[in-house]
Amino acid sequence: MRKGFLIWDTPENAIYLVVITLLCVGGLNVFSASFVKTAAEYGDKYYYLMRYAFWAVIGLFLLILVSKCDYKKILNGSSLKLFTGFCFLLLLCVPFLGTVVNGARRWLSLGSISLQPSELIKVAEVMLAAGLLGKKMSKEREITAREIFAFDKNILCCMLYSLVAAVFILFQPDMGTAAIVLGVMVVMFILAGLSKKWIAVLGGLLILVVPVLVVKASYRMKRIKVWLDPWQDAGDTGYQMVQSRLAIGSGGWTGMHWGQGGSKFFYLPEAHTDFAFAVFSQEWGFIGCLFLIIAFIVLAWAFLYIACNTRDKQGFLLVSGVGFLIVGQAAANMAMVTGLLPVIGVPLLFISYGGTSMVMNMIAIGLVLSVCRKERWEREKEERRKNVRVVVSDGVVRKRRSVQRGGRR
Amino acid sequence: MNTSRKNPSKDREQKEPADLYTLNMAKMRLGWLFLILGFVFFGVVVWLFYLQIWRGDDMKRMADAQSTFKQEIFFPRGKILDRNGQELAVSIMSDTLIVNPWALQGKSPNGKQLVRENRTEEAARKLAPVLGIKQAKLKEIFNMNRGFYYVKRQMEEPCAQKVRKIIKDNKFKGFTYQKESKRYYTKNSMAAQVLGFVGTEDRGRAGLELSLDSILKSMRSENTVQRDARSHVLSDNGEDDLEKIPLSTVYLTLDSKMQFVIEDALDDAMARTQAKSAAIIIMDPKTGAILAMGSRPTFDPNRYWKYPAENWRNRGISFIYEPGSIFKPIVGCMGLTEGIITPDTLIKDEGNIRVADRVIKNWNGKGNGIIPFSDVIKYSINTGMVQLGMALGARREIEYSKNFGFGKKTGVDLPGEEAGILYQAKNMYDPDVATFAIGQGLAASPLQMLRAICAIANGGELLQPYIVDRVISPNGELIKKGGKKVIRRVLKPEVAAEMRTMMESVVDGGGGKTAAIKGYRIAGKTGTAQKLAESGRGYGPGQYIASFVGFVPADNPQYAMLVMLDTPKGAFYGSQVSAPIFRDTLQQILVAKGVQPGSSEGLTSFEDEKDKMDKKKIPVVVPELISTGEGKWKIPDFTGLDIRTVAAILAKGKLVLLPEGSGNAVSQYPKAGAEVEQGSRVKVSFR
Repeated sequence: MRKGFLIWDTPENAIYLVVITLLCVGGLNVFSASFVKTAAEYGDKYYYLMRYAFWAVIGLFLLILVSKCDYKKILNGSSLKLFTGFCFLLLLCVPFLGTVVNGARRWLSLGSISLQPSELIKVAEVMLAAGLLGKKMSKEREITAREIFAFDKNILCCMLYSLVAAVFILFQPDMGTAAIVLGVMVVMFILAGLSKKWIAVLGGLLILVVPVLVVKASYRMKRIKVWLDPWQDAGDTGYQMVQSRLAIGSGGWTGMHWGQGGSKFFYLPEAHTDFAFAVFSQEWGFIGCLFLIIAFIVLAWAFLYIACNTRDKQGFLLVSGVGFLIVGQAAANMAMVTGLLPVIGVPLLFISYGGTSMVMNMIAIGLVLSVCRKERWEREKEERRKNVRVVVSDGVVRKRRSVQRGGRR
Repeated sequence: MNTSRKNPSKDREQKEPADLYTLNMAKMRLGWLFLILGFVFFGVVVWLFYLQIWRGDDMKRMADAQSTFKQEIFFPRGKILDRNGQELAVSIMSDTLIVNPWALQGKSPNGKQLVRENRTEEAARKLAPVLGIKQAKLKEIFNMNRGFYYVKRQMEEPCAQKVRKIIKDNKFKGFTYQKESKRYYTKNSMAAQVLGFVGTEDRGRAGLELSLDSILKSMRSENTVQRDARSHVLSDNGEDDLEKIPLSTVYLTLDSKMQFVIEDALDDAMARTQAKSAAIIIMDPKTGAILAMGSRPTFDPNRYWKYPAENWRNRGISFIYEPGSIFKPIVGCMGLTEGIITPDTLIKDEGNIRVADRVIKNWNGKGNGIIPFSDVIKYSINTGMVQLGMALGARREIEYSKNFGFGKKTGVDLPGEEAGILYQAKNMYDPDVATFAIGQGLAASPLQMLRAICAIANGGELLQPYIVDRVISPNGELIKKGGKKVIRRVLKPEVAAEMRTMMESVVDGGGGKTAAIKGYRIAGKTGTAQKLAESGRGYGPGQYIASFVGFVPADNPQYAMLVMLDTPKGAFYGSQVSAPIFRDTLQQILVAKGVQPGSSEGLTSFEDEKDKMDKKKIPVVVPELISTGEGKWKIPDFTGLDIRTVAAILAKGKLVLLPEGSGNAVSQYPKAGAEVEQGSRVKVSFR
């Protein structure tokens, strides 16, 4: 950590800079992608821009607040249970109190703001897994069949949490998010030491089950076909994919410039949410996309850097889980929007409009910063202690000097 | 080995357990995971490169193809308005019905019969009543052996709607529509010859429509328009193009009110005098702006084809004639300028004068003895003028006439202008020199004549007459501006002032006293010229052209007007025929324009708000003010009279009309029979 991080002093600075940059770019993009729609529907061009700004301010506040907290206390105290439980409870409320949008019941409306509990679950499960599996990791043993079938309280809790949440989300219906919730938990298990045998079993299952699921249901087969060649049904099922590709492709090298893209004029569905990246590509071009991807890679690098410098297992799990969640979703969204992956509803953090997702992910980033801060603090404490030890053996003069040096730092 | 699992030792030398999982191993796994994500990002970048760079142009073309479309836009012909923005000519787009008779007959494009069914009979039967074309004629059209025919041009919208419905409901083949600009002249025949008319394909064929065709012409253009996925047109692409369209609005110097007054006067005059033709022009003597211009016979430009082409002629500029006595002030000015005479120069009038083999008489053949030159003009004495003419000589006569703009087009922005005819000085014999001084031996258009008089009225400047006041582009930009243009100074201001005084005396007790309006200082000159025979040699027997030209107020002229009547039946002297028309017309205009009377009777001006268009005919019996002596008048019953007549009646007693509303009089105050003093106000309500 002393060496500095890329061109920045610390990874924290890099994260702050990337987050602020992405917030600005995202705000511009959300406005550009949404003003046509909102002007037509609400008579207010700035409808989503204002909301984006509102959530961004709240998110930034929570990010800084959480980064000043001690994540160890959060992960090991009752607050973890309270928080994850609360998120779970909200998810359970959705089938009864949720509002229906586009045929899916995903949101909880609280006055003028609406929450998406499935987004809460993503971060909550990472925290839960970091807290519980982190304890498990301290034994420095793989998670094997024996432990799973021995009904280890921590392992069981994590598995059930994500499974039940996934089932609830599946019935919203939102298969994409359900798969992500399960997938994130699997990744947490893998990082926490799931034995290679189990990883192989899961991998095999994936390879076997997915084709069966696809072949069994004709609509999924059709979806896959449309994904591979959306132009064969450009007017109907392939419409979104075609529009997305047209939007991206028409960007060229430098794009049509901000606000000038044509796809937001009701051509591209979900232009300001899941497909915001397409609008971004159209208006900022290939150069802009590279810039955005580099921003996410810097973010990923910072997470990786912090995770690898963390000696605390819970901290490691937390940072890597959050990192995977944020960067993985970004990669998935970009792959989906460009057409490398089939359409699953994954937002692109900061670029897509989504209040819940943004605030929760910023809280998660706050936790990462907290881990980083705590680790540095620990290391400094240790170094000081080491110096003190030296002083005891050597004499008074060096002790003072080292204290001074420590103090300067 | 078997102890290691049961007793996990902290000793480094012990072998590692098989299921050991350290933090470093976890970091390795994390590294692998991020590597996978890195691959995904790499894939995204490669795929973006493929979509945006490799296929970028394709994609852009496809995106443009779905969001843009070509839209045909039509710009109807530009408007013509009067100086106050009243619409004179407007256009809207209308449908022209075109038929492909082969298609209707069920034939292929090269005339081969494809379908048995021939629906021409049915189509003709159903469309005939709507189109207003005889069924037999329509059937004939539909059975023609050709692929294109205009069935009906520029259908009115209700008609077009019915036609479209019939064709759609019956699924008739071969009919198409074409958008065309259709012209409407809102005031029908008013200023018809000035405005002209528009033929097929929106071509201006006469009048201003012809001369301004390039400015006014309708157009069709294609515009690439962006639209959203809901087919709403996004306006941000087309606006720039729209601003560049050359369709402009033309504002004329004509004043609809004055134009209406002269049209009305011309109708009256034609009915009363049975003249062959007539023209009235009103000009602003200070600027050269034509304020009204009327010609008879006339036509309705909305249906120009129903009138003979003769009616389309604007006689104000294209009818040339010997001006006769109205030319005398011009010759008088020559004499004054050359110093040959002064207004007080005494001239001997013996009733006739002999020049070479010709004897020139006064109009009544009587002599007046020795009189000052001012009386020569005042009483239009030919012998006096002849003496002046002889003194001037041919060269000076022609030179000055040219200076006054005779023998050359005035250059007014109207098509079809005639230059007139002027002798060459060297070809003139003495009798020609003599008769030139009384306005014979030259031919001038009414506009040339009026312009020359205007030079006297405005103090000596010969102006370029103009009728297009301004042309405004659709974005409000001034494209063309008409305005005062001095061609040359032809008179010294003192000479012009002397001539104005003489011309004022003409109306004030001289030969033109029939043109007088009480309270106003009017200058004028009557003229009666024998019409040149159709054969071009000599004069037609009993054919006269009666003219009157004048301006008001004499000391500071605001309006100059010329009235010309060609071959009136019965009375033919300018003073009998044209001067009263001049007076009546001018009176209405002075009332309408609120020109203050020059005399200091303490009269106030008033504005006539009447809408002239719904004017009713004047009752046959027009009541009069009855004088009760000592400047007191008894007011008659005005009920049923229009505002103009009432104003004329009241003007006799110098009473002031306070009109209310428009139409015909319904009530008045003071009541009929009441006695009022000169100059008092009379309130009359019109409905």
